[in-house]
Amino acid sequence: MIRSARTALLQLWLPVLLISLWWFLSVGSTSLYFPALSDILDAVGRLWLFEHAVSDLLPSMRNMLTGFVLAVAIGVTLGLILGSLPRLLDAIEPELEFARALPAVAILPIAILVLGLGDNMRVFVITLGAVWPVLLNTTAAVRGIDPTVRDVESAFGIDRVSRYLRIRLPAALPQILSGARISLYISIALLVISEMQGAGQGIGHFILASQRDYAVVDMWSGVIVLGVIGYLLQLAFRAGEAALLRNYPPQRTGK
Amino acid sequence: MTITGSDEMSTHAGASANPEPATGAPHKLVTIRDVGHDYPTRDGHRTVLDKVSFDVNPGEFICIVGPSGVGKTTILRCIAGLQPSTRGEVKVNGRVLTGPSSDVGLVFQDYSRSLMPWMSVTDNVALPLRKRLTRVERERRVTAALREVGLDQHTESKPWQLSGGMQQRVAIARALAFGAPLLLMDEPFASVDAQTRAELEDLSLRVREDSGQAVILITHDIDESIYLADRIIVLGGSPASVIAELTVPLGSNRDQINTKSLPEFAELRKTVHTLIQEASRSMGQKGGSK
Repeated sequence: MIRSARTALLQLWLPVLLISLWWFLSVGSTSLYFPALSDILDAVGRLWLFEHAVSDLLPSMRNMLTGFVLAVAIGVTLGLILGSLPRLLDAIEPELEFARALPAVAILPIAILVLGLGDNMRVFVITLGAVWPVLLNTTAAVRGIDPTVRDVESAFGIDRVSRYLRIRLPAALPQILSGARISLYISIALLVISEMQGAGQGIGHFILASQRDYAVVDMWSGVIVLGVIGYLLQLAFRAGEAALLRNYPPQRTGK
Repeated sequence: MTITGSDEMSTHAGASANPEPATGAPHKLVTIRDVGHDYPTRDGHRTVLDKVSFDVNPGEFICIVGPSGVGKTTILRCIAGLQPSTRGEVKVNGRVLTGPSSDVGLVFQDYSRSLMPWMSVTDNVALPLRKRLTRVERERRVTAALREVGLDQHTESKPWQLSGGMQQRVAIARALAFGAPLLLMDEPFASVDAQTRAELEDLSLRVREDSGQAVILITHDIDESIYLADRIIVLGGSPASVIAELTVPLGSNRDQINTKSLPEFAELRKTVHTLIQEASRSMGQKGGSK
């Protein structure tokens, strides 16, 4: 209890200091590009509680989470299979490397051509970009499972479903989660980028549209909301991770 | 207590379905005939085992000893069906082995790798029984096996919360609950301290007594092999084969202090020691194998 309070203090002092600095340095600012923090926070309250939260934030979050969940589902499924079939993995490794090296942003114009400007395109681009860390981590984790575990599987004649779901998936789980954490970052980034292309709503669209209208205060409010959302998502992710890894030996949770 | 019941479980892999027709000869649980094994190397292959032959009777405790690197683990993996032998045949319960079989349970050397850390003790022991038994029967067997190894107070612990000796007991319980008539143990007590080792040795003897399972145990510890075995198989040579089979005339009631101070025990220790030393020396002359 005391320790967690101390950790909280340790983590809080810098943000508090920086925000205070920002606040006092920007008081009465007349700069067009760097308005006073007090004005920005006013705009956050005015715009995001709750008008734009419903019209922009909700659809953004829906697309982002859909893309992220799809990426994790696809990445874990393919990773379990590829990691279990080393020969198949060797055969398609060049293609995998190529696809991974291609930034998802570069696919954006093609995705817009094929899928249009709707949510489908955005979810597709997010999934495409976010799938790699999960896929590669899962593949590596399953491939790296101790040979003794494979021996246990065959010596005791464990059925195929149990091999995948009760042994390989949980064995890979810690690494899957560290991949998923990176995927979450990528999902947020791709969400914003995809919304800057011809979207009629969404937080990325809002930030870009405010900038084009010289509504600089509004623009900053969008950026701050995005930062807060990203931070909260990370907190939620960490809580979920801790819950999922509660049965694992302590050193495997990476703490 | 009986938890052996392979007749209730289907053979899951490999073993051909036709048991040998009964002959007049006494029933052998395991027959190993002229088994040889080659490992591929850069220039062709290296023969590790050649013409290994021995039998195991039901309920018999066999220890395999030999110089390190002689191929003890290889022969065990052949009998487990994890590594098909290059030549010869292994028969368990009258069936020629072509893969892992439900007639064979396995205790691995390294419990920290062979147990699933995220599963409770109960789930680890029950893992091989899923899809094979009804829930009631499964629970009955798991409970019985955990009681047999003295872990009935730790059913919900995770393996990593237990000591090394307790973890290896979980592994023994898992193999026990599997219910195979043959139990293979690959240097099962190599990574625990001496006190725990003695406890686990006695546990293995009791388990064999209660379950009637035959055991093949590999060890590099000569005293351990004499203390546990009804019969000791000494492997030697390069490629390795059986250089001696020694019956251990120490009866079925053994205890750590008295049994080990019997003159027969000392005599056997000398014999086995000499055999292994000679085997090891001749391997050295041939350049060794590992």
